[in-house]
Amino acid sequence: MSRTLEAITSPRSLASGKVDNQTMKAVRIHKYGGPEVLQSEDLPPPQVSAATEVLIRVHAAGVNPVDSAIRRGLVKEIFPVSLPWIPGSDVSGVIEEVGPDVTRFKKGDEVFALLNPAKGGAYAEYVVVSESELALKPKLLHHIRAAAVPVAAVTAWNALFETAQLQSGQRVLIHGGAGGVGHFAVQLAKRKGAHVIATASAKNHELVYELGADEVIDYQAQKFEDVARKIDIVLDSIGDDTQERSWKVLKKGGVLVSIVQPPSGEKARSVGARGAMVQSRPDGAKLAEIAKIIDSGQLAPVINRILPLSEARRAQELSQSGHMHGKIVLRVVNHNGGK
Amino acid sequence: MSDQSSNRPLAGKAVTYKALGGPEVIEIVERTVRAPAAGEVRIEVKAAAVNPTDILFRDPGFGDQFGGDTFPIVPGMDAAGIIESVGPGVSRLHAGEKVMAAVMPVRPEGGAQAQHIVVPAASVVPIPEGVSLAEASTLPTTGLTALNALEIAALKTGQILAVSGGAGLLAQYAIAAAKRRGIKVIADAKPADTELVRGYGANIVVERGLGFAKAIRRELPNGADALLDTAVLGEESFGAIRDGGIYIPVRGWGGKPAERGIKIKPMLVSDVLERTEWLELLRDMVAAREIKLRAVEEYLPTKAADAQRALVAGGHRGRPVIRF
Repeated sequence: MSRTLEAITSPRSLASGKVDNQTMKAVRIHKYGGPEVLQSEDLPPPQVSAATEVLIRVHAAGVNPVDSAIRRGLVKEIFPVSLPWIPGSDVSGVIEEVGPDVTRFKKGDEVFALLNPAKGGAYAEYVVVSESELALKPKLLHHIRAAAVPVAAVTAWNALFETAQLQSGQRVLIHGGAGGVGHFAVQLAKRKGAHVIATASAKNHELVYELGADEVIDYQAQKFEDVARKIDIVLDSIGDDTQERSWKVLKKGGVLVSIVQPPSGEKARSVGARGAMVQSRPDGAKLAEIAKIIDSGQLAPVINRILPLSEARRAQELSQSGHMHGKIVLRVVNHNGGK
Repeated sequence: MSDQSSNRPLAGKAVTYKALGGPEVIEIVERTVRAPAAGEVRIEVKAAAVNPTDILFRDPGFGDQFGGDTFPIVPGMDAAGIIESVGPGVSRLHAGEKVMAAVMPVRPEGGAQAQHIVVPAASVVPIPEGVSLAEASTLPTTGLTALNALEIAALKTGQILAVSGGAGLLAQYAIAAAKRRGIKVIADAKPADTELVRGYGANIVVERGLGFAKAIRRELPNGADALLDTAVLGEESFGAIRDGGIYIPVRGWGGKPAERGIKIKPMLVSDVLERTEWLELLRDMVAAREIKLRAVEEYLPTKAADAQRALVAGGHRGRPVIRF
């Protein structure tokens, strides 16, 4: 008999080792450095220690550039971590235990959360999360897809709607329109009624058009500033030279929002624009709002790669390599069906 | 953008398992399928291939992995049919197009063996030219598994991949994928299947049943660089692999270390169901005749149990496919 497709069905207990209450699998760093400092370890699971915390059985953890930046020790001032540190701010899973003052969630709820990157903890089988960081997982997404959402979608949301106050009909330039934050930004800006211009490498153009971009610029073939003009809002996920060249495409009164590098106030003033740096912050209420949009069928994550937790190193290498469309997700539990 | 007229739920038949158990747990039910959301499409399924995994989903020996609350479950990981409607943000695919899809059964929307299904557009591509929908339905998920194995093995041109169970469908696709990358293949087969497996592209075919490891070592004294164990031989096959080589199990692994520095790299096909570029590659491989799709034998949904029995019985009767 030919045997095919068995690959999907390996029992979790066989594939990743049995988990009991004594130990859990986690990926930690003990020092700053390259991907090699990420180590798989067996650790005691974290405990609910505050009355408003919950313990989550992690099904999937999203991988974000900030995970690697912290690991490399590049952002110690912004995200001071205490070593050893478990990376991961994006999590989707099932509530295992709730603190006595938790009112909005109960054991067994399927949730997703955005954790403070400095605290991290998602690259593990269990994580403790404050109730305020949590929302019910979108019903349309299984855990793998849900774990791709929080950091990137909330960052895009904050940049477009809170910092830049995007209005219908405005012209938005989204650098890296196929990337983690960019692909959410394209969808959210389009949904708001903006004229969306995005940059992407040629191989990702189809994807970015599908997400709703009105114009897609191949940044390798042409200078975006030669094509994009009279922009109200630039969303910069690249920094450096790209940010520098972005000032000249802005209208007077426009906004350059960067998610990677604080824009120069001097530059902003010189072109009569505004510059701002945006990060995601844990915000369960906003996640709940995003979940609602996802369940309405208007927003979805794009998944590039799913890798097992044990391949966290490779996941971060891929994430750092750039030119990746969509999100990379670590699978912590093998079966991500759920109901 | 989605067609507003298609924004309603659609009723249709689905093969389901009501619980763990034998073929008696298979039931045909009428269910409704929601409209596609962002990045999704809804397909009117014409054919859904039957795979060994379908049977595992109701197997009490494997059952606890899904938890008791997941039933009823709609089995099936491969569909081919016609796009009925597309969700917001899907422009690559269009209503009326003939497509094939890799489908994850363990999700609220269920698997492929249903009259209508909603799936991520990333898991869907047009079928290859010149093949029927039923034939196309045998390609997506098994093909993705084969490409996943090759990616995990990460072999270079000229290195050697061993494949156990060389006559199987996964083996066939994996051999084709290896050949495309310039990787040499050694596989086993019953004497009657030797020519068949050679036809898939295997460079060396050894006789099945004499002890896989021994048979491989007779041809390759140092062992193969990697082994894709589609026959689920397990530890007894490690002898076929060179020191420091790679073992790729297809049903997960218990975490037990292997001998002589052999690295065990389990794979989960659910990780790669949205690798659109791989689905396109598979379609191209069929068009280029690098993969010759097998003959199929069609079963009505009410005969799903017979289709599964036929698969288990094996032989050369054609790959069972549920016809909707």
